[in-house]
Amino acid sequence: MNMLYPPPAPALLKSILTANNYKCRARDFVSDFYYRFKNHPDWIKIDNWNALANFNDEKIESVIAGEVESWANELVECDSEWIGVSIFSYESHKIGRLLAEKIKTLDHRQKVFFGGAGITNVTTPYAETLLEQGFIDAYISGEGEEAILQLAQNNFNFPGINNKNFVKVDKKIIDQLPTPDYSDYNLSLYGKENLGVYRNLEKQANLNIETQNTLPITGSKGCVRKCSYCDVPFLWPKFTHRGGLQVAEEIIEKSKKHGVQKFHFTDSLVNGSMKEFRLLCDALAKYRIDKKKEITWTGQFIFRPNQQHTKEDWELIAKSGASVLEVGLESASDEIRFAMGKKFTNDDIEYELSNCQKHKITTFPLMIVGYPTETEKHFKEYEHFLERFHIYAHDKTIMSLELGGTLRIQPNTPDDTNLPKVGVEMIPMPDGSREDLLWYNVNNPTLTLSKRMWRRFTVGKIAKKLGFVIPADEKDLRYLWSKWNQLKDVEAEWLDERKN
Amino acid sequence: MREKIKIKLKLHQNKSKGPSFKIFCDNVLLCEKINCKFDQYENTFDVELEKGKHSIRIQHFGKSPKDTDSTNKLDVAVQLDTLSFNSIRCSSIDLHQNYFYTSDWPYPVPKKIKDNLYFGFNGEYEYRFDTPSTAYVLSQIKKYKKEMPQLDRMDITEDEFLSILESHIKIELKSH
Repeated sequence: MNMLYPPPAPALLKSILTANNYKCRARDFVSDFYYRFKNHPDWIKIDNWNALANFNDEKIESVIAGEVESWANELVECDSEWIGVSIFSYESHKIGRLLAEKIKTLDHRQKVFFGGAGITNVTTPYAETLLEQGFIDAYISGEGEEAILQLAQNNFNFPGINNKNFVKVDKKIIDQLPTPDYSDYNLSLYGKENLGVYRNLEKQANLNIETQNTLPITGSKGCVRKCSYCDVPFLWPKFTHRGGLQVAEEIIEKSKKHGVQKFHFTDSLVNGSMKEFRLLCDALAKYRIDKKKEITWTGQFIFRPNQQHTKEDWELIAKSGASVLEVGLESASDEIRFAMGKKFTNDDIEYELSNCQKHKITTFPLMIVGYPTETEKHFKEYEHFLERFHIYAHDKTIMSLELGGTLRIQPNTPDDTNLPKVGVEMIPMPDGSREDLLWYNVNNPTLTLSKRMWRRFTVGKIAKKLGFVIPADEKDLRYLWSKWNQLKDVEAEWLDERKN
Repeated sequence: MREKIKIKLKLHQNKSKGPSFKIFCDNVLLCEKINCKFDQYENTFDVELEKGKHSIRIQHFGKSPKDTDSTNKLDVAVQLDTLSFNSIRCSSIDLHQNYFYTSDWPYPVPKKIKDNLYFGFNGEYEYRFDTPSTAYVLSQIKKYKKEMPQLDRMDITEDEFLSILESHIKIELKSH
């Protein structure tokens, strides 16, 4: 949970519903949650209650339940036909269920539906169970742009409503969609504190980024890569861009309307189409120079091999206002990175980072420690990798590092299909369910859950000594500690049975 | 207060006879079916109940032991599938915790049977609940929820965790 920008999904759905003559109001309870509890003496526990399935402190639960009940009251009093809840990830599962329970307790006739990535790309049948138990009346998987209008017309046969057979939204429809309507949000609450990985920006005055509001922006859906661990190509099989000029126009229009100068791309990558990306950057650069505006943007970006980003490209990217690029480097080892489908080397990284450095663009590399084929030899490459690139951490070309929570093998990813062919097995939970973190590679048998976590925090220690900042380190620590306690015995029993 | 009680039953029949059953809320008869030849029965009852303790009773009657056709594996019986209050479904474990009280059976059978929602004898299944029923059902769901091992402490340090992991890895190497 962070407060970098307001949630775009409800704002977009509001604008779609409004354009189709339905009344809709968007509420952000993440913001309520944060401002209600941020100074609470038990804030860390309250914050972590959401993410840690096996942390159920009664005192904390009672505090949260009181707040959720007030949200339910507010929603029920709206007397609306439907209450829709956007579930962003598994971290919203506990609180989402609690909210549905409270709504149904207050008024069992009130219709509730859930949607979002947190019900679509999860292994557990979260929404299915809530529907079966009667806590919700419907759910929408996949994208909701078309489905929400069908739900509003009580058409439960539309793909993705009450099932996972969602279909990709057509590009023609995406192009015709209205832009998100943020009018229900108090935008002054965002982009100032609790910025997650962007929190360091607050402290880095030399980056010339003020604590001002941020708005999300979406230029494309899908990805041009098929990285082994990622389910984006399953969700959006074809990369679709709205058009660089159109996206630039939206940024400029939103900036004028809301007085906002910081934008964050929600895209899987901003530079999937170099043609559209150059058009976008060019239009933004011209606007910034002609109008003397300080618009800046952040977003996910892919490093490319063989200097495909020319020196002119980097100059244009800088002029367009790029401030932070989130980049999936994934591994210190070229071999492992290539196995993941990332086709660039450490030398390519050096080229891209040196250009970022030259143009004062900062980066936020994302890594996955403990890939199933990662051996001791690959692991040792981390030390050299971190030493090689630590100079970029010192001048903040690398703003911070995300080391993550080791590899989860998610359904609908190339890893899920291909890793079993090289000896990787999922270890079933005692109730037969699947846990994405719990797997075993018969051809790399010492890379157990404990070993993967050990490597993750050992790399973290080395990185921090060399001056890298890891903003999510404490959160990762609590999460993995919780998961380790939950899973270690399951793994040990499974290995024992296998041995016998 | 108004409470919506939804009952879904699976009905088992032999070649010539279906089950007969009555459903009561407290002592009020909600429904009666004789020789019901459908595969399932589903109904929602809108009832007015005072705050306090209540019960739903499902009475199976009119069966004789000879209605069980072992040769063709057919039987006359009522099976409770789901019970919901105000659209919230009762926990299956909770349903299994309530008793079926046998009656009117020519051979010796236990007076009461737990952990079985297949009512093959004559008798009465009783589900006891409190109103407001939604809050009651939610509390029962919570009570019977399968708990995973609870995390007793969150304040672990990185060094401490690394040290725990190192010890664990040593044990793993020895045992596997």
